[in-house]
Amino acid sequence: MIIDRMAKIVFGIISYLLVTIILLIVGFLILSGLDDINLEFLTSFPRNSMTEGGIWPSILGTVYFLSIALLFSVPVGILAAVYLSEYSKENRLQRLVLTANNILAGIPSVVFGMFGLSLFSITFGFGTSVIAGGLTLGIMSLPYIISNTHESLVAVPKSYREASMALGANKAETTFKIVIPASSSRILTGVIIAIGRIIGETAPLLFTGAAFYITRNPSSPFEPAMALPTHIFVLSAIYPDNVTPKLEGSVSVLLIIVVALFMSVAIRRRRESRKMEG
Amino acid sequence: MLVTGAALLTMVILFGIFFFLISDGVRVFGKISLREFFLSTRWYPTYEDAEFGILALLSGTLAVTGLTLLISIPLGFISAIFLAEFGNRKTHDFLKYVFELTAGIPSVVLGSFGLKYISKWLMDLFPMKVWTGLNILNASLMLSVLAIPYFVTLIEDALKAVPVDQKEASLALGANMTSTLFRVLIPQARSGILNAIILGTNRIIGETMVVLMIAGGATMIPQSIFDPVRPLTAAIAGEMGEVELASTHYFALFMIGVVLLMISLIFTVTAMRLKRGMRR
Repeated sequence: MIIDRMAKIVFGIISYLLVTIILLIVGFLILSGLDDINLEFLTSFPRNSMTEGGIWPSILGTVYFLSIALLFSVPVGILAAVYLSEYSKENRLQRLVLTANNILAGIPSVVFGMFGLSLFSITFGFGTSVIAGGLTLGIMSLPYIISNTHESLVAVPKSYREASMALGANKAETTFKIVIPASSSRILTGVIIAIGRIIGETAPLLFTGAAFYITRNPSSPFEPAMALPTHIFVLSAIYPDNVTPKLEGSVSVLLIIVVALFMSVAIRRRRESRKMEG
Repeated sequence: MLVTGAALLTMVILFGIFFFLISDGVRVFGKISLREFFLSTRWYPTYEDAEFGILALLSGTLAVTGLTLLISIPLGFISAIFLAEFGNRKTHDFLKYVFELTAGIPSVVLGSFGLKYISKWLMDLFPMKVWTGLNILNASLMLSVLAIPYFVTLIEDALKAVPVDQKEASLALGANMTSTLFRVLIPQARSGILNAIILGTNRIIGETMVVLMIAGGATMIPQSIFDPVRPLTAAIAGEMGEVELASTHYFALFMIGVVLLMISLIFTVTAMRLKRGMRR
């Protein structure tokens, strides 16, 4: 029918236009920084008020922040998800935990930043440090890890558990030797998604862990570090236009990492759904 | 039990967030009256006679969020419809893939893009009206880039959740796809769509880096979309770094955090209620 065909064309044009704009922005930002990226840029400290040198401390700092975040959120998140899918019945406590998790997932990142400042930096006395920033990011990523892992565990067929129990394994053995290994690939996908979400987080790190400029790498987790997203913020909002090549290079590096992470998620998901079908 | 402990930890963290923000936030009312805090438009935290009224900041949040919704809901809705009902498998997978990817663009990158490019472009495009390229429109455009993929994904899910037999019955009665869409599918999916809009709005309100970098930062009640504003999140992120600990200003920023926390609590709980209602 003519109206259907017209609707399809109009809606299609708008959808493709949107996607084109988005791809143009991402592509433009990656490409315009590409010529500023070289080995020296990736492996040296910024010099001469950020106009020379590179982003090595920001790359390393991002790795530090993420490591601490995941060291906290992956074990805790997996255990909490195990509780939700294996050890709890549909009762009030389970509902409360799920509700708390949903509310946590909706809280703005800047509020997590204030919480991290108040708890880790001030109450625990960590100050502005890798550990305060990392734990703040860890708490932010916890709801993602819990819901993704919960979904992965629920997707494991019941027959796996029954077969294991029938062979005499107890609940804990079944959970940790059968159910979690069976869903490990999906759990890992969830962890990658969580990394993609928190790697670009800027506001929470500004309060809790980020140094604008350092001349040597932190020697302990109780010192501040630079990070890629905060570095981008500092270069674009605080420094004048003569740092633009460094800014473009930093944006490009961060976007390449994020795009690679989400591409790997898409590939893994496709592989998983094929496994389910076949 | 270890696993129960881990699960309870999420609740402990949630209570901890409320406790730490509220216990610092309410201390602002030792110096400032409730009325002044919420109803004054004067936010001058660093002046000699400092003033802490958040109404102008709140109006900034409302203006930026409102314009972003105006841009991103219709566009997201159209793309979701196209994805759910009109596209074939290949176009569907490609578009969906791009939208999923963009859901991951760090907001600081979009802030930087708006700051370096969109602001100049807006100045050239509307030379008469624009006195600063950092304004509501710029922030809303960049926020829309973040919000549209989110709306597309959630609204598509809502449309897909409508039972297929409803659609087939309508088509079998001779209705075309377009009227089936507007008379059957969308009305059936409305609570899911509403759910998507609530969750998306919550995200836009809480977004920080884009508005910090490109909303302009002026504490004023905006008169047009070309005015600069200072939304709640931008005030926190912009001032937290320099504030003296345990000063009135510090407590005022925490009270703004409490306001944001309450907004997100209300939005999330409403969305959960809607979802539970849908299942019944």
